[in-house]
Amino acid sequence: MRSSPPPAGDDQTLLRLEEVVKHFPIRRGVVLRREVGRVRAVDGVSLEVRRGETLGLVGETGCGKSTLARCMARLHELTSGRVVFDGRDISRLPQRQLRRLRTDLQMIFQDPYNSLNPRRRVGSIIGDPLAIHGLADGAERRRRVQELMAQVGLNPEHYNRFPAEFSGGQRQRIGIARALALRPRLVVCDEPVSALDVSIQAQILNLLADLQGQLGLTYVFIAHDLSVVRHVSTRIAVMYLGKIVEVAETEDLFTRPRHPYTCALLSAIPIPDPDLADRRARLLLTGDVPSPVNPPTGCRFHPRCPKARERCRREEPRLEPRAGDQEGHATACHYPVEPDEDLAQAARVREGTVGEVKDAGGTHGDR
Amino acid sequence: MREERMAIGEPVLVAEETGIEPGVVARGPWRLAWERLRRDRAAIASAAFIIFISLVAVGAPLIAHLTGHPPDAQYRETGLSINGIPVGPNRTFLFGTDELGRDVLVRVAYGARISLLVGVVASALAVLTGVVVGMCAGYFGTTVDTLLARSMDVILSFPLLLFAIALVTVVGPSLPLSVAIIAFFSWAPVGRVVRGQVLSLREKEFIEAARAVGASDLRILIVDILPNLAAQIIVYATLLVPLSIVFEATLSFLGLGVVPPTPEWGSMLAEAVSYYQVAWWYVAFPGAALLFTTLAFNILGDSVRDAVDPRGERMFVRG
Amino acid sequence: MTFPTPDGPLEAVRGVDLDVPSGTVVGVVGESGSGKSVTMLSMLGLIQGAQVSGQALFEGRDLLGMSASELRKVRGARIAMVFQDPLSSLHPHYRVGWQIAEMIRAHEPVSRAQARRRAVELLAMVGIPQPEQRVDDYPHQFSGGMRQRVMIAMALALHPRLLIADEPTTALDVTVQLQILDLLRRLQAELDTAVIIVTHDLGVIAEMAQEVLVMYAGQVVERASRRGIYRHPHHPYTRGLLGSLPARAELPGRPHAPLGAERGRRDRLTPIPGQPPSLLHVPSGCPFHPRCPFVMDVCRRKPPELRPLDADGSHRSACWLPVDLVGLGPEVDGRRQAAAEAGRARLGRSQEAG
Repeated sequence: MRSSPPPAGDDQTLLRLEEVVKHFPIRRGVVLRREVGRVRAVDGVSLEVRRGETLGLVGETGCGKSTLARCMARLHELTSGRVVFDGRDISRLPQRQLRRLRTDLQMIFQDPYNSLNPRRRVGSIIGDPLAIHGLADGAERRRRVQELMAQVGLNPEHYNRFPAEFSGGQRQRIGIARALALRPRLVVCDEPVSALDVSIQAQILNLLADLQGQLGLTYVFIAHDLSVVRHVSTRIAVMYLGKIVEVAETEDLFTRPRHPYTCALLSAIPIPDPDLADRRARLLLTGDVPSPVNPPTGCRFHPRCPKARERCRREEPRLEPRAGDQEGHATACHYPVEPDEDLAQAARVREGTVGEVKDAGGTHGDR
Repeated sequence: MREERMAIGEPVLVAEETGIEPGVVARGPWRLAWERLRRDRAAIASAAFIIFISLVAVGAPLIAHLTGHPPDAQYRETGLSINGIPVGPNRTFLFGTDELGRDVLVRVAYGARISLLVGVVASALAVLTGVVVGMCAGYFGTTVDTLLARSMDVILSFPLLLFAIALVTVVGPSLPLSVAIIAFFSWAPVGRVVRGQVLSLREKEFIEAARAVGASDLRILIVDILPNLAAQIIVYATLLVPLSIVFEATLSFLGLGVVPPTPEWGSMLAEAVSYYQVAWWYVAFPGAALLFTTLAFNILGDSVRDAVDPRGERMFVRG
Repeated sequence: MTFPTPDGPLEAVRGVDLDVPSGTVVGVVGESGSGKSVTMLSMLGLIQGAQVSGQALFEGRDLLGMSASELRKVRGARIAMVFQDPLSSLHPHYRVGWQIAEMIRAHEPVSRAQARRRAVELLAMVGIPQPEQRVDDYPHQFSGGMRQRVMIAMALALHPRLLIADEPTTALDVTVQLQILDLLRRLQAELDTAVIIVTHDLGVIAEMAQEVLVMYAGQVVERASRRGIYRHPHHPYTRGLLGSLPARAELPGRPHAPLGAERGRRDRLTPIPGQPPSLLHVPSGCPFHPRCPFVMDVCRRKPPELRPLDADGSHRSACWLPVDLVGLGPEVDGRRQAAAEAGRARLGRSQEAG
């Protein structure tokens, strides 16, 4: 699904985010709705998406990845910051131009059961984009829709069926067909397989890979399942509480994670192999993800970080490359994890505050 | 326990990942609702009655012709007894006569016209207004919503009858006025319900998806939201008709509706009250007509609601 | 177990044999529609409107034959259940301490004060910080992970012999999942409770279970020890499931995990074609045959029984393929292919191979 990533550089950048911020105000009061707080869903994200790649975006609940996805797809108005698509600033576009942007920038949604209007026929749903943008009418539209259906693996004769008559995986295919109707260049996929069974998941992942090859698509792939993200992405960005904490090429991230949160995340992935599962050491974080309404000061991860020190509480680290890392690998941490470091050890040393460790067997290295 | 319904896997090794063909039926939500309705005996009976009474209404002139009694003709010799008391059902007057010697059967038939006309038209107007206002309030939110929702609240707090009386007294009774009054008081509940539905629909992912594809607000309202309201609208419309009919009959009963001598069930009942001891048919037949018509619409409305109820639609097992 | 529906009888569970030795952890894995949750719920009499046949022996007594009041005594005290979504299984209007205490008092004659103290202890045991304060909180005041801990506390309050966990971590974030699984493992060891863990996540099963059952279309299609399922699967469905996993042989980087070896990542996954069948119209013979790459003629006609593959019967599979064809990899697949073709050639028809 991925070729090696194209070199960075402006002509290769399809989408660029600059200090994008999206806050949701919390209002009280009946007539005069005063703002009493804000949900800082996305709190300053700068990111690049290169042509032809698949950028994976991972994080847990409350990290803001879904919000960020919608900011990218311009389904949200930005609180501040810029989004630049193919050289054009699309941060504040008037309605009409925003609509035309849709032909280049599309989105696939997570929930196959709610992302299709249950009262509309499938052919009408898929053909909607064509109708809206006046690209095809009548028989021609029908033909194009059926072509799309075949392309995503659906039977074109089911044109007149309702979504309820399809299974979850098929509905997701319908959603994909709809997104592709306009032949976009960038597709933001918001957890497209999270709601599907494992065997169907694999079908859809293969489909997405095939389509990327056939149509030259660029993907932003959001998921919470790291093994899926690893499979599909060329580069991965890790989010925590509204900020990117680390970004790197996939293999680089998995072999040399620098940020403690990334390490914790990686160690938490369940491995479907009993021997390896037994042998590995885990980093257990205590507590839950704090609320994005009141993020911690300084580095947002510091309350749960096994390496946190005074500086971490005061100063927010910047996302930048660290010495010794590969090209394109950036980390936001004052004390990034060193290649030989055992975080479990650091947690024990730090004592008490954070980081229960379970060390099962402790043999690192080979199988 | 929930049922699971999916298209079934077709035996075998067709193309790698295609969607499959059902051996099971493919039925859209409307077909399903229709079939459920067809199986409902009560619904069929009510529908039959409604068709029947509509035919009567339409064919009222025919009935007048067949009996030879126009609705306003007063038969003082044959229709009233020596003492001036209305004559009971006999061969000439199948439903008897009223206090002026008029043929009750024919008047009931003509009365059906008024009731059905007003009932249906007023409901239609109310539903139309309610849906439009409700959709705007629910979809656009904030200021628009506050404005519209508060107006609905105001209307709902109006004292119905007093207002009607006042208005009619000032303007003078007429059919269009009756229709207007009924529609005016009936649209707010519809608007409320529709607003609620739209508020929850607005948050659904498929609406967001429509926006992602570039749909304008208007298009979303018409193409995406309206079909999801259709079921509710139909139920409401069906249930609003009997309410309107009764409302209209009440207005006429109080002398606020149609102008005499127009035959109308409510006004007939108003007169009949004084004669019930000597002329039971004068109360019974218009009363029965009103009762059964209202009942039929109510039952039908209930059955329609059961037929389109989302609880009856498919649900999926996940995991 | 069969449910009558307007479209005909829906066979949710079609023959499941399960035995759980005390103190062990058994994993039941299957996708939606496999009948795994329904099987568990029915054992405890939590399903209405179904026709159930068969036996469910717990400590020697048949659960399915018990009266409602007898079942109530068993539920909670001897067999406890933890569900996927604690928000819907905890009563939203009552404080959690009260809920736990009430449950204890329903089964044991203790005073309110004693029950409350037990509740606080339990909350501490499951790792909820400041349990004396939090015991008076309502469910919505806890995060997802904390709520699940409360559920576990409630489940283990009376030291049941058996704990059934139905997708206990599916709704949780992966780091929280780790905490919960770790908790379950520790408690299971400490209290020597038997656990049945029902999930679709093969990773979770690998972490937790000693024995694994794979369910498909309402029946058990394979049963083996942990290593057996992951290293030497026999049934083509199990094989297909493992092949669908993007995480198959890969592991995240150091130092918190040893590295797995081969990089199959960039390749396509090998999903199972088609979809799980509707339980209203289960295919004839083996229910998996329409999707099986190694289908033979007999598969269409006769449903295979769960046969032992080895001498001690610890590994069983419901498949007509020869018993020695276990494992993953092109070599074994080649032999499966050969066997399948042999099983088809008899009728002189050649079919697409998977």
